[in-house]
Amino acid sequence: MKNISKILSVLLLVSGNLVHAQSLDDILKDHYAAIGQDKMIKINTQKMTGKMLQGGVEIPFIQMAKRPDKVRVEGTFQELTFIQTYNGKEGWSLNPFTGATDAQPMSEDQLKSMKYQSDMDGMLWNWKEKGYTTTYEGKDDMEGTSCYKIKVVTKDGDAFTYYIDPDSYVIVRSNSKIKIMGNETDADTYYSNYKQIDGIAIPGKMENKMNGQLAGTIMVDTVYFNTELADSLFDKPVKK
Amino acid sequence: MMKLKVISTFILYLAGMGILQGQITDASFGDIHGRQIGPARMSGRISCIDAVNKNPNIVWVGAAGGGVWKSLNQGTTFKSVFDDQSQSIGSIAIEQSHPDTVWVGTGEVWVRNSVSVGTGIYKTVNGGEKWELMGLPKSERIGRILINPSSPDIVYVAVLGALWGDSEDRGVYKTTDGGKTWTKLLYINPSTGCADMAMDPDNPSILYASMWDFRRQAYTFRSGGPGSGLYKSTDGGATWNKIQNGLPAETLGRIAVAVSQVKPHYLYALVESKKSALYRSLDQGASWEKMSDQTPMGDRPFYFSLIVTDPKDPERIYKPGTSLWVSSDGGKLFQSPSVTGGNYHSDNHALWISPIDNRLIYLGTDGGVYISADKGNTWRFVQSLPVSQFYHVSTDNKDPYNVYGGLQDNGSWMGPSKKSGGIRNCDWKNIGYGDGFYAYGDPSDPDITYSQYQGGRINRTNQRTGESKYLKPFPDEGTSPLRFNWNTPTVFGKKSGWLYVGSQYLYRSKNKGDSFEKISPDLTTNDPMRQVQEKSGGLTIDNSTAENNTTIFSICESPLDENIVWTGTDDGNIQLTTDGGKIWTKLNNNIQGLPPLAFISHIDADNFNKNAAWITVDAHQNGDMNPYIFFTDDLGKTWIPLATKDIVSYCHAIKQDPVNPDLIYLGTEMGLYISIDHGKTWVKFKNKVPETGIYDMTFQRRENDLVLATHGRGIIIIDDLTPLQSITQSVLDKDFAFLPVRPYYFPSGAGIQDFQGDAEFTGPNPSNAATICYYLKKRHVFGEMYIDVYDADGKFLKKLPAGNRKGINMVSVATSMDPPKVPKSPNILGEAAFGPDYFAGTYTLKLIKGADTYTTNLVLNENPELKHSAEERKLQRETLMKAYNMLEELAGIDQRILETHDALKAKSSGLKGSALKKVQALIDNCDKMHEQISATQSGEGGITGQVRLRENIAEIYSAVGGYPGAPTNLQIKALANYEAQVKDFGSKIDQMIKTEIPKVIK
Repeated sequence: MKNISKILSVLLLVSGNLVHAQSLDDILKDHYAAIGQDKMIKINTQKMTGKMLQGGVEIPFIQMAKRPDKVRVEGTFQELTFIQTYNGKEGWSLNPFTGATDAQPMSEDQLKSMKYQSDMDGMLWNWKEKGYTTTYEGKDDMEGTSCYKIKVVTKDGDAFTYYIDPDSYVIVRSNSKIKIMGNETDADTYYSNYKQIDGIAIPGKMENKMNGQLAGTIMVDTVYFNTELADSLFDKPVKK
Repeated sequence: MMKLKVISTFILYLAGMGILQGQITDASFGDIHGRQIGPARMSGRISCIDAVNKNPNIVWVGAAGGGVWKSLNQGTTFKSVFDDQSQSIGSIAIEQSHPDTVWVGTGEVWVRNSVSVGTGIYKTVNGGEKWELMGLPKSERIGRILINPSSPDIVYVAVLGALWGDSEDRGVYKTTDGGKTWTKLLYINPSTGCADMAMDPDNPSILYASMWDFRRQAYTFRSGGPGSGLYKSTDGGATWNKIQNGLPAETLGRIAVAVSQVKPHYLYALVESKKSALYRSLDQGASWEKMSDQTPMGDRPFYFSLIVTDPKDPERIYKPGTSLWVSSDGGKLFQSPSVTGGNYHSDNHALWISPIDNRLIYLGTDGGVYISADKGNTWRFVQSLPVSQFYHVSTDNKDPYNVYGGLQDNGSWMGPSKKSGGIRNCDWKNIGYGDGFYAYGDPSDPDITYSQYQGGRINRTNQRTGESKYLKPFPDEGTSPLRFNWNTPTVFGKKSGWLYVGSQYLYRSKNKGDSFEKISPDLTTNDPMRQVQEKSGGLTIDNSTAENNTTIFSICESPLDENIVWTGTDDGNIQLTTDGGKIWTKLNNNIQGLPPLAFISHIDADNFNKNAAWITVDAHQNGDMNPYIFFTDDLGKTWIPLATKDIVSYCHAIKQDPVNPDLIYLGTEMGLYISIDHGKTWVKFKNKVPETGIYDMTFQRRENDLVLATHGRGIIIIDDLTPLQSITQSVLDKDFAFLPVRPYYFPSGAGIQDFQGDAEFTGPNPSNAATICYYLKKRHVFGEMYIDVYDADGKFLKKLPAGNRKGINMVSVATSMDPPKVPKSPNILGEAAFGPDYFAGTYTLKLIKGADTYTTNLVLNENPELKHSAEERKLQRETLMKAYNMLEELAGIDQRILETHDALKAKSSGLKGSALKKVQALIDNCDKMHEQISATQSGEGGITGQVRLRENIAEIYSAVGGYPGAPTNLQIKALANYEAQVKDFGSKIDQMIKTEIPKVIK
């Protein structure tokens, strides 16, 4: 009888976990713990290298980020380097693939997107202070996994939806609906191959889709934290 | 013992939760998905339209069987926003003060014989991103939703309700809390529903509702009865009064009602009666004046009962019907609004007029949406709505194969399964008329097509000459008049290739329809009570053959024995012959649970056992929407019922997989189901196959595709069934398992240069990438997962990303080398942006998943369509690789030149006089060599026109790489010439480094 009650208690535990209703704060707390948010907030710079795969072409890339809100991305093909920078206020894009020799300033809408990307902590962290509205939308099927669905809406009305894996509490998909020149874009990123680097969970693969169609895949090779990154890296780039 | 039992119970419990044993779910299908190829060429029946009054660019369209589509640009592009709900749409209502809030009432109300069914009323508050079922789940058909403009939580709903039987879930419903709760306000009797409603724009408490007494049965239709009438409420629906002063004091049928938005005391009613007519009231319904009984006023009320007032002109009203009619004198005289135009599809069901510009009109027809900018004079067809309604589908064996099918009111068509640049509307070819049903290409003559239209009419057409032969069987002496179903079975034998056509008798032709023999007695009930189509329609007689009954509806010859032929009728009979038609046996009594007098909607003779067959039975026309599936393996002596509670609606078609006998596909009114266990359990297939009617299915054997005829979303192809054919319980139990895919051949085909704008739907092509497939029991989230590719010698080639989703993963494998390195330039070298394809052959793929490694092979085959000899292919490969290597070598030489240049430049800073001059000469020489190797001039747009050695080699590299046969003689000669130049640059820089620089710089 003792064994029966023991097994039943396990069953109840299993069932209890299945039906336990999670609140937004509960989910985010587990999410922060899973990704090592407490360590991430102490990181000042991040440098990531890898390759982007797009239409059968591999493009090595470097992404650099620096607090509070600086970001730079480089992609090289045929020794020509595409560069995007954002220094927190202004942003530029240098695209030699189109024959450009000078960096072009970003539009308001592009700057807005860069501002979102430059948030090293992710949009879910300190969302209240950032002025976002965040809601837990319940569980939703994501390719066969019943994920926690959390929606963040910015003051500009741009919406970001995050699908959090119920086992690992990391993000497995994000969807963004951002208005560009009054038109809403619909982009998805699917995250996987997470690895722990200095106690921080970093996705090793990111698959990007635009309007549901595969746009490209990012495979991460290395991630460095707190390397020296000069502020000038994030200013107007010059052609390499 | 007790302990053991409890533990085993626990294990069973866990197994039930899917923890120990893999279970098939809709997620198991993973990356296997439907490819919706349209077409939108003829679009499909549109049942309702609404648009934003202040911004008519935002248009919402409801389709009869194709869901809800939203456009933000006045119909240039549309996006489907309602794929997970019923695809039969009755009405759409935008909350005009907050246009992101939209109500959708499901269930079309244009109640033809093939009309579908709804599942309630839905609401979105975010423009269609997310939908919530707000209630009325048994409403079946909702024809009008009215939102109180000043209190938008108050909403009125006209529920027409059940078509095929009595129901108390109909009438006028109201919510005052945005849909949380509902009150039924007006109800007459179980056969009378609310057909239409209107609201006074100045006083939303004043409402008008028309009630319609009607009933459809498989063999007849009744419009009109004591329940029909027109009602008014002045208190928000709390009380209602009949307002028929001036209307005919006789039995009425269907009534459409409309209020002028500029003069709300102007009220129009289109009233079906013995002599249908338009009436007008100028006193809010207190009295009515007959305005017109022109013929269009009585035009098929069950299909077109609609009147629309102009939002600016109270005297101008539109009457959609077989054609569109307009009156500009308050309804006295109707005429066509099209004076210089008018090339739009007949059968109009929806009309929206812009309140800010009444010249702008959206019209919904049996053939899609049309837009007029001149009050209906001329029309622009919307080419982006793939909501075509197929009845049946077939394919041929061309490469790429063609799809054939017939559509509701849109004839029969053929179109390619893939096409360079995508499958466009113009790729579809019309091959038959009327309402199309069965259509085929002749397997032995590529010019010949067959198409069948209403009531047994069949044409065999030579598409090259246009010659057409009418094949419909006729009664010979002693034969009763033939009865053909609206959707007459016209089927080629799976074993024999003979043509079968069913009336009440089965006809067989062994010469493509040139002569037929009658091979059965009357196989139906031949019940005269069910042969009353000439009286069908109620107040308005309507006998289009759509109500023909007591006919054969399904035919299937065994693929293993041409003497075994199964037939099913529309009045419930299942009959079998095993001797080619000499003796027929009725099997009904052997089937326990067979609903009586129902359509035997489909029979599929088993592909592996000639004694076995699968049938679906559709009883919805008797008011029974349950699924019925039966299987026999003893020539119909005994049957096993296979429908389960997981199947939510009635069934149209069933097909056994041609490779895996346990894999069964089921087409229902609400989507596709798949069984992997011989029909014991069913799982809905949701991946890009919406909840639309799957009327028919066919296999394309060479490509191993399943092709679906949907009645609302066109043709949907599920490419490559090979992985599904390998899914078994033992696979599902594994954490990881490779699954086979169809053989891969290098693709061919050029790109196209054609910019048709964004307004046209283009059907996607199947992937032309080499693919590997595997099953993952659980999504991979943490840890490495990637694919390493090795050649036949075990040499590592590249690392690729792996799919990581739960279920079946179809992963494209890049089958080309890295592009060649090229000399530096400010401009991109597009001709060298891609690497050469791998050689045909077998490659080893290692999938690394955490600590586990799984190995499989990938075989790349030459394209058999490309007829090049082995020598020619070898020469092409050698030439291509030569150019590739030359570019790489030149890149290395150029790099040495540039490095030397930079080193010399650094050294020169400390030099003077002749030493400096000598170094400068070397620097200049480096510059000169680099300028001869690479285009160095940069320019915005990158079009500098400079062609140097790198550009010359790349042009040949690209040309040779683009053609797998022999290169031209001059390509080979030019390459040899460039090779000499490459060597020369290599020698020069080597010489400079080895001998010249040491002389100058000690």
